[in-house]
Amino acid sequence: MRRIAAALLSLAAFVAIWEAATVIGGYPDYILPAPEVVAARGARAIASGTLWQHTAATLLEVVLGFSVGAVAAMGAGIALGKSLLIERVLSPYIVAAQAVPILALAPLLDIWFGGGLLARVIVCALIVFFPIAIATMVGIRSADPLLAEMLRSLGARPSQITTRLEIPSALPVIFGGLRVGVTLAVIGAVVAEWAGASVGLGVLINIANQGLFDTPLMFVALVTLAVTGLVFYGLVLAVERRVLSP
Amino acid sequence: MERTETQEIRPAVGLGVRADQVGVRFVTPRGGLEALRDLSLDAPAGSFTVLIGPNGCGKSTFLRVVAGLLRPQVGAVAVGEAAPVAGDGRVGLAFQQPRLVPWRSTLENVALPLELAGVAADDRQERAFAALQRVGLAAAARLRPAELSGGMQQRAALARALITNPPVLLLDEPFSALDALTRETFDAELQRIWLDHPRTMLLVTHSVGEAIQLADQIAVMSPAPGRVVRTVPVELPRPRPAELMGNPRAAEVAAEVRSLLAAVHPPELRPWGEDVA
Amino acid sequence: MSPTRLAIPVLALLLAACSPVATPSPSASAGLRHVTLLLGFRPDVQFAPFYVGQQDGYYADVGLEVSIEHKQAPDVQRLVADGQAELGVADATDVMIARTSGIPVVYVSTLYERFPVAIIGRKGRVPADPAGLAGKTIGTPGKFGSSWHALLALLSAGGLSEKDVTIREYPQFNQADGLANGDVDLITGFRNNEPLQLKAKGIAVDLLTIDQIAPLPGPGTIVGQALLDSDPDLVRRFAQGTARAQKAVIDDPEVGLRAATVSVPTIADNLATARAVLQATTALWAGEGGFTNGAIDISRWQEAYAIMRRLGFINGSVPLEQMIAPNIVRGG
Repeated sequence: MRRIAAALLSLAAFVAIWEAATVIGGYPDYILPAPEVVAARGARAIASGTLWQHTAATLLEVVLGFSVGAVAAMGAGIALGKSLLIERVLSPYIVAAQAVPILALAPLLDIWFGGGLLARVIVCALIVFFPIAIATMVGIRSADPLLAEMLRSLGARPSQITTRLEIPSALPVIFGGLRVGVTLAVIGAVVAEWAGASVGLGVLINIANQGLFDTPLMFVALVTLAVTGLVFYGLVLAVERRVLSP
Repeated sequence: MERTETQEIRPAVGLGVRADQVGVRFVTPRGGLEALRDLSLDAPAGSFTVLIGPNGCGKSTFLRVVAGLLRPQVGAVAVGEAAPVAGDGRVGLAFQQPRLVPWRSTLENVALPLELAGVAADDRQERAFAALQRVGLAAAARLRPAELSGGMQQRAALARALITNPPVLLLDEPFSALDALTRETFDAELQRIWLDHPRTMLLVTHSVGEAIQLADQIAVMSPAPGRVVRTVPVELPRPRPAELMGNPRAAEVAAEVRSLLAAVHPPELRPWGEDVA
Repeated sequence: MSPTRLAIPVLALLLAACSPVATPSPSASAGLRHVTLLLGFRPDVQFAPFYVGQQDGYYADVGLEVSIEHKQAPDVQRLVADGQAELGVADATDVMIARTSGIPVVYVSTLYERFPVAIIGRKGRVPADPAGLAGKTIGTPGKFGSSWHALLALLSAGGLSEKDVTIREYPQFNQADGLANGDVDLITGFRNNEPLQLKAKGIAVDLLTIDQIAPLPGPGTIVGQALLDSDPDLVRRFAQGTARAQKAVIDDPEVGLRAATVSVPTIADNLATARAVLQATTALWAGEGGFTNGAIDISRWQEAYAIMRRLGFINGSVPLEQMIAPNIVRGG
């Protein structure tokens, strides 16, 4: 209960600061719209069904992209964590791929993968991959060697050591990576849409900004993205709480 | 790996442990380290052998060889008739630290050896609970290790080592992290458990008093590379109390062990007045 | 019309916060009034008249010192409206939408008499009549901007709508590639750009231009309403200087090429291409009746306003009179 009150309070403070900035700075609506202008524009976008249409498309990309990316990343992270050889061979490529801005790669990926939902899911998965893979690798490595020896003394097979020691040890760190990853997934979906989608919150930003010169609508899209990120983050948190302290 | 699924504990007088000129060498970044050289030891089935020596003499290394966690480069170790195999049920091992898995309950921790062997959940829960009862920890079954005291954790670790009823039990300074009072109690309990269900015991310590209370024979170890300098028999009736100060035979054994240690491990174990040779 | 950075509002916030509303700073040379001109996209040979105006004294002659900055196209209108820059270049149809959305900009002089966007296709495969667009697959950067407005205007003129064609979007502006490898039948493009690209690939093209079919005005100079009200003379002088520079480049394109190479040294890497683009560009500045020094064709704008309203891009809440300032450049 207190947590909800604190959240509402900080939200109110944020809106108040935003309003104050608009008033004090004297910004016109087309540069920095005030909260009530954005809210009104949002209400219209919701009523016309536009906002949901674009939001639904982005949500699908986020869910699929995050799922694919997270599963691949955790698998890769386990392999990287368990084998120094694999780490030495693969990590230069992984790090180099991470350093190339996805914004530049996305159009190419869009073309390679046929420019549809698949391409966007892959872009999103790629953005999500790195932090989760690294977190998993670090987590796996952090397993207590004394416990590993104890398990070996009980006759545990290497696969049993992985499932009963290394993965549970790694979970707190992995969830940290998942938290980061899920918010990046939202960014990834937008970047993917910019490379070639016709519907989605990223597309809505473009339509609002370049087509309609409608800054309040652009802010509506931004706010919706922020809320989406928060919701997914909250979901990961909820799962984390359930898994880490039953 | 066959295990007999049984609820009752049968007397397991079991398997002797024999080491024959064992040599173990580690490779470190700074070159080689010879931990054991020419170590021979005979622990008859059902006997209680104590290895004594200061830190670094290789006692723990030897236990790992007997447990099957290390292979000696030289010599041979036999548990019964065959070389040791880690986790095959012949040898139980209790470490200096409890080494309980922090996110499992005490019950799940004790049941771990059975879980790894594929025993069904109901069965292993029953057996683990019985094992906890035997060490007096039934009330702690649902608690996490962090919620137990050091002594309770070590008791749980002991229960885990005993749950498969191994014919050989190795203990690597199991009570050295506990306070002296708790230690006395635990030594007495260990003796009781062994007397109730005999098996071959191999305990490592650097407490002469503990050795005398528990051992049939005390194997004095040299500094690294470790070997058994001499094995001193302890022929005192059992059960032995913790307080053996008044017993002349115990005093003799103690003196012999101490002088051996001092002879072999200068200068730390010598009185300070003497010059370092 | 390039992808928006997510940071646009943050950028705008920072811009506004860190640098107070840009009042022109009377810096630099002897009594010249300093102004900032915002151009979209990257520095390019097409902007030759501005470079010529800077370097060959056309702006200095009218008492102006012009510095050029490049911004994303949507930001040009917003920043000019807010007074953070005095002048900008924008598409006429975008100005209509922006002004209707409440962004107070005014179109004050014409830079391109001919509408730069056309439908482009392989030779022999371009319909001469917009009705022939039915059933075609058309590549275009996106569903916004002058290319999109022109396409819809053409379709409408041919009795068609978006539903009668298949649209393929190329957010990276590489629709020419789509035409080259056959993914689309036709593309929208700039008459001084895509045809040259395709010709370089050895592909001969035909064009369907819009000027005779739907009279949309081309790009022009914009200023904020506030500046127009407070200092129309400044605006007039800039339009004059620019028109003279344009004339000079029309008369001798090498003048433009030289100035562009000074401002944008990379142009020198490919002079032949730059020359071709400049030639194609200058051909768009003057209309059927010759170069008009930037005059605004009111009747053309009225027709265009009606078309944009019919297509639903504007709702008519802001009248045409607020969008243009035809008396800045008075004819010929």
